[in-house]
Amino acid sequence: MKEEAVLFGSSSLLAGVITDPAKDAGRLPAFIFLNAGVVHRVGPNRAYVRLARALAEQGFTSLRFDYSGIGDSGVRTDDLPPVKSVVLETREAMNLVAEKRGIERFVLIGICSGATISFLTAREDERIVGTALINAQGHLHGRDAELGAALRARTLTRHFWRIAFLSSFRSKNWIKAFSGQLDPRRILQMMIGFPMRAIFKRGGGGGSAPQPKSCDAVAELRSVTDRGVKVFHLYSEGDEGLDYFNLVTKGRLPEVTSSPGSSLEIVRGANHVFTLMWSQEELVGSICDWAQGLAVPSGEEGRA
Amino acid sequence: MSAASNTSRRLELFHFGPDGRELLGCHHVPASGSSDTGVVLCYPLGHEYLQFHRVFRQLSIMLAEAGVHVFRFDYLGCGDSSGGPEDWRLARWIEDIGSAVDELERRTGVKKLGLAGMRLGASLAARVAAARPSIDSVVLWDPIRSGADYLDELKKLHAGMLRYAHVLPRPGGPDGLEILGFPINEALIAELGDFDLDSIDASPGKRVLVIESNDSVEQGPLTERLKGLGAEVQRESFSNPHLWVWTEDFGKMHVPHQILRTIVSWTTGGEA
Repeated sequence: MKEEAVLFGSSSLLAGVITDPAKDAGRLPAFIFLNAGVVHRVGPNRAYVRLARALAEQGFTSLRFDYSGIGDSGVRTDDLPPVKSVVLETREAMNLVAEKRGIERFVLIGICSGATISFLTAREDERIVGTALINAQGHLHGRDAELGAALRARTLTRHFWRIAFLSSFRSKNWIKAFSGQLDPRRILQMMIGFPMRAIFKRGGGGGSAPQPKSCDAVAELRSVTDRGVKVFHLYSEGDEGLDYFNLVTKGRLPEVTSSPGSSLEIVRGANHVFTLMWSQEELVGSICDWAQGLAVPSGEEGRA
Repeated sequence: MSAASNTSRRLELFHFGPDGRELLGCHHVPASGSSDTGVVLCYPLGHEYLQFHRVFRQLSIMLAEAGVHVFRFDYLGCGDSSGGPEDWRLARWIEDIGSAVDELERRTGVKKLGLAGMRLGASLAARVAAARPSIDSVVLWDPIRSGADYLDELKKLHAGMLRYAHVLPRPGGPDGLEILGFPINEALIAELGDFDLDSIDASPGKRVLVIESNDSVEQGPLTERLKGLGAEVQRESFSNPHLWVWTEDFGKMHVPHQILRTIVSWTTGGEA
């Protein structure tokens, strides 16, 4: 395994590190790691470094880099809105790997916002053959801001009720609540305030608020899987993204998980950033297992 | 139209060091292009490294704007450097700081060299500076005085995370000590158990700035010790407990500009 630090993109604005396998495995796509929020390119708990090196053991080249304004990358001065600059800079990252390593097929991988950007970019760039979406949220309902806000309120409601009554953490949370370690006002806000807001949003405002049922997550997903892109959703049990996913795919989960190229895995007992070591090991294991299925170029599975 | 800011154009990113022990280095070239002053920054460890990466980058930019060569690097087994947590040793990181100083000197030929570190990075910087007379000044930002106390503090933070975060412990019990996302190996535990900065026996440079922002470690005894060793010591307090709260969401981390301005002013010759 070898690593190379790079500055690339417009005026060498972006900072990154390419990880290459010790031996050229040939015809494998390259992984591009996208920032998890504002955590720089090493990822939460250095997870991206660990993943990049584990993937290199399997023959994959990868690039982890910082978007402009994050980590070691410079700040843009062209006023391009972040929603556009992240897609542009992800493409610049792919261009760099194509130019330096001659690889033309890519897998985008990210935690949290990195996952969301992975999916949005996959819809727009045909070089992408896979996306590993770790704790993704907000990516399967299109770009309607009003719908997004309504879904956000309902996601939070579902999240707090699931954590309180259905999750592996429920006893721990009730012990905290009864021993006075949680603020009762906060509990009331989470369990009653958010549902009330969600109901108000649905019923109020002259009934003009959009209904979550108007979003077709399966169609969104198929907009990329029908092109042969493999989509892997990986969620921590403690993450809100799982509630978003359950909300937008409600009643259609079999369609989602049985769609060609689409898969779902949940890591029980893990939090948003996989803080505990055992959960980091599961994260790396799951991604590496999924990556093995990328060894055959898309469209050639039947002949393999 | 250019999309890059001036500060990003003056950044060089590369690996340095021998094969198998490559460290990621990040050189901020000063605004003036050349300077005879350079500072090597020494990160804290583990979750604090992630939490304060942005703070260190901001400090680098401010120092470079003020005319100083700045060199940041990741220790062995940390960040983008080679190795993993199994390589974590105080002795190796002390060597890494020395390699970073050599690299900055080789690249720039600076005559006046300083170190600036935070927490464990500050303590290691003090050890290196005490052994290298070429180092003129040291900034010690909340240095760890006792390795054993530091480990206890981290264990408490980890226990707090276990109580509050949506996590369940490893099925079948823990596999060694881990602290907030990083395993701590036995050799490092032993090294930390023996680490006592107050027993330092040579001054880490002529000038020392001690920054105190973490109320859990009082820096008075260390300040007195360094004065006793002949250093010109300035101690500044900026109580900031919010800086030291572990959070899953690093986006909530703030940059303490008052502290950064103090470091820049002191490093460039003014009073803190």
